[in-house]
Amino acid sequence: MKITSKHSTRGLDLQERAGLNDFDDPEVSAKSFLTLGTVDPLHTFDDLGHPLLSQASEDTVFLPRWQTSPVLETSQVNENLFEAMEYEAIARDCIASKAAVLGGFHFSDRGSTADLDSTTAFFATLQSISSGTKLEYSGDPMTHIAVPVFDSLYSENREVVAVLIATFNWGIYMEDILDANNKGYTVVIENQCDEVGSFTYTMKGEKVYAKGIGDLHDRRFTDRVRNGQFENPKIGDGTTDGISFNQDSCPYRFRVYPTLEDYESIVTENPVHVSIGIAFVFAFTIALFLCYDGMVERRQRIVLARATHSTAIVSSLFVSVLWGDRRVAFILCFA
Amino acid sequence: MAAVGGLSTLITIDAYGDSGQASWPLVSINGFHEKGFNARSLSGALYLSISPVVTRDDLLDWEVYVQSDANKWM
Repeated sequence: MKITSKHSTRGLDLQERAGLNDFDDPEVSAKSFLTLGTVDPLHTFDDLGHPLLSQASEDTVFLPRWQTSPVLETSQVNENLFEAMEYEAIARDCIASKAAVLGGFHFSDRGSTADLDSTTAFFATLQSISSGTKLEYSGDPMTHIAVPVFDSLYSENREVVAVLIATFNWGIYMEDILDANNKGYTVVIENQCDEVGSFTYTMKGEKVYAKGIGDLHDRRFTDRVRNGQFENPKIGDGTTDGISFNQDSCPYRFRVYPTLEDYESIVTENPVHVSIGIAFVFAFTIALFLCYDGMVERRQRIVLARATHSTAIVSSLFVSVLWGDRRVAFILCFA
Repeated sequence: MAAVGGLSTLITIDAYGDSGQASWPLVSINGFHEKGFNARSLSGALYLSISPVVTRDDLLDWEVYVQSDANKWM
């Protein structure tokens, strides 16, 4: 059982007011503590998630987790991260290289905040607090990044005095990117530091769906791939130097492929249909014009023929009268 | 991730406090909840935690420190 004074502390109190403390499962929280105190002594967890006192009796350096955001009711504080498999390598690498280090995929089984698996419950609780509504963890990968905290801002000989660890879910970064009507893309995230190595997501409209472990893209579109990777060797931190980003320990690559639905929405017979339609309109217009032109020409011919005929009759009459008048005038003139 | 990098810088500055001397590892950041929330919102991270590097020589002092009122940040 936890002591009640725990709930009067500042961070939890602020979260309580925001309604974000309803997601920690009380049983899971209670099981995570070794003692009745607010904070356990330096400790770690076994493979089943049971707490035990730190086993690093021979170590000379420890990395106890101290302040967190959000504040969880499970016993996170004073856990020695050098004894946690998923944090140890990146934390040691971060301190040694004085650079930010990205870890591999951290999976757990799908489940709720009350799951018996402490990692599943942890991830479900984080996602629930982030969204403000109770969610199940879907089993897609999380990744931790270790960022060094230095004892000085600008000194060249500055030392790492603490490690800031951020946990994030890859799927969040693919949400709300595509248009709502987009039929979707397949995104394969690969790293070179895990046995698993790759995970596949499907982006459809504004949503993202975890497809599964491995490269599950449609093989028909292998040649349509677009590749990406982290290119910036620095993380901006407000200082002139920034924080180096060491990707050598776990380089990531991102591959984007079209899906069949996307392909069929773009590669269709619509252009052929539209072209035939336009050609038909042109052909009909030309035929109509030729028909009209022929009729007008025929009418003109008829009018012309009648006019010619009429003129000929009129002319023949006029010539006789004229010649008749001229003959009279000629006779009178010579008479 | 620049937001997390910015938080790292903020912690370096905050650790000096009013005394002008940082006393790592026995350091607690004022308003870590708010600063962490802001960094999480900007970066998309679900969880942020700070872990000071504690040597064996400092371990006893550390254990006393975490049981003191310093843990009221929680």
